[in-house]
Amino acid sequence: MQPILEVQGLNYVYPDGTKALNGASLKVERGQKIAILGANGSGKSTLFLCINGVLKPSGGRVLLEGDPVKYDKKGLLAVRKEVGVVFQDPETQLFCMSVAEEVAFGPRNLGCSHQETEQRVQDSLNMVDAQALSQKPPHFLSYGQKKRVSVAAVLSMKPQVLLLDEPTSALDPAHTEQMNRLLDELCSQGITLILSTHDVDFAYGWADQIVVMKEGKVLRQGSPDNIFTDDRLLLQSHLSKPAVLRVYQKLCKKGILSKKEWPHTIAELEERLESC
Amino acid sequence: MIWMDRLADDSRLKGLSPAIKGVLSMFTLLLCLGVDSTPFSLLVLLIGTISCTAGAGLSVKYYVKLLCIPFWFILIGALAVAVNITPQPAGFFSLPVLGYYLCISKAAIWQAAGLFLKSLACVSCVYFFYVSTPMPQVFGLLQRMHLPAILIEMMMMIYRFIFILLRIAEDMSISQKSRLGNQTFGSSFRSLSILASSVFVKALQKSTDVLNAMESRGYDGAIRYNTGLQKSLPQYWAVTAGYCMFLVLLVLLIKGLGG
Repeated sequence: MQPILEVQGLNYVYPDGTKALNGASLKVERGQKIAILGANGSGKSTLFLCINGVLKPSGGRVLLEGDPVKYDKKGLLAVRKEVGVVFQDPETQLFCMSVAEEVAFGPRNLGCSHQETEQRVQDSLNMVDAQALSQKPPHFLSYGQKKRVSVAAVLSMKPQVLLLDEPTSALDPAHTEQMNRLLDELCSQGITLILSTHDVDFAYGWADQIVVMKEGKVLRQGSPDNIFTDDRLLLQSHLSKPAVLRVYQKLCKKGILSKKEWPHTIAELEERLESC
Repeated sequence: MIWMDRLADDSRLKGLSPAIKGVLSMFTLLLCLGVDSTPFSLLVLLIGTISCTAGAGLSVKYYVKLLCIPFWFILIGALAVAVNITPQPAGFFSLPVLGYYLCISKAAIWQAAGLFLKSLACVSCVYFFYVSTPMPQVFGLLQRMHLPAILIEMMMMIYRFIFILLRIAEDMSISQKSRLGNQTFGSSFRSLSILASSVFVKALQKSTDVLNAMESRGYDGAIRYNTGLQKSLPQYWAVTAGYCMFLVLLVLLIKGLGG
């Protein structure tokens, strides 16, 4: 199957000389859930901006459904229709007078009709449960509300691939739970999700594929089981092992559980313990 | 400062067409300036106060708080009118200063009082518009008045950035205080200078981030916005026209009595 997104040897150097990306490569199949892990400054945000065409890479290329991204006006519009970015800080994303205007910004830029735009705004706000906020100015919203609106503002462009830069950082547990439910719903609609996170427990339970980044390179892309059982890789990239996995491995060593399928969440581990 | 922006959003008259609110406020303001009569200024101040509090639903406490902002400025301006500098003593009070006299005459006091009232009345007119019209409506109105799009877009961005930068400045100022940044006179000046320069740098950073975020949603140099302004009912316009005519008649009456 043709990967929906492929990044080949991407380089990006900031004007001050910082090499943010240094030959990063990855491949994403349609409908996958990808978690990108890496320390601060490992190039995750820059990678997102490059995939979206906001930053033009100084080397390498980005392929969308097999076609290399072109950096002319038409090409960029096509990329932005296909790929949406939810930024880490919702404050930078929200600039319009009201929430409804904010969510309508993207569809209008895509040239949607008035009716189509209205419909998309309604649908997106419903999806993130923010209909009640539609006439409020962004600076009246709480952080959690801003975050939800910033997701809706991208969803209204109906992207095939959604990039989320640390979507649950600085959210309280209830909002985190809500965000995770939203991600599940988006996934069930067939949207390809790529998110960066520092939460290894979440990444282990949620993702189909893990991408580990360090110093502008992709160290490894693989299944969560593959990544998190490779102790050398974890050490090298300063990642900790998910708690579930640690406990499970200990239980196996003690002979309490037998090595079968890996449990990915606490609930799965509990189930295994119940049935043994 | 954010409380000021919330006033319009909580206003009872939020749903009223901004064009009507604009006409009401501007017409009264211009008339008050043009007529230049103290009783009329008093009347306008009264109308302004009633429409802000009883009309738009602003609490008296907030209304007084708002009026206090330009109060001292207007008062000092009026004082400057009341006091004349002359080579000879004049009026009922003269204070010799460096060979000249600071004089206060009865006429000058009346003039100053009239000016003071007129300014306050005009401010109350502007406040009526301000506390009843949320910013999106203001931009909608400007758009309908065919102000160039570039100007409106810049105003929108500036309006949004005020709040972002205000937040940053507040947070920084708290963090400075919590580390004793303003213990002494000197250190508080140093803190302030650091604050000012870092807010400037932050503003630059933020603007790059915002531009990136806009581009990622297909921004191509033009913000397409819909102000969603509804046409107002003809009844409302009729009432507005009636009010304006009533004011004009009143002015004619006052002028007739005076002259």
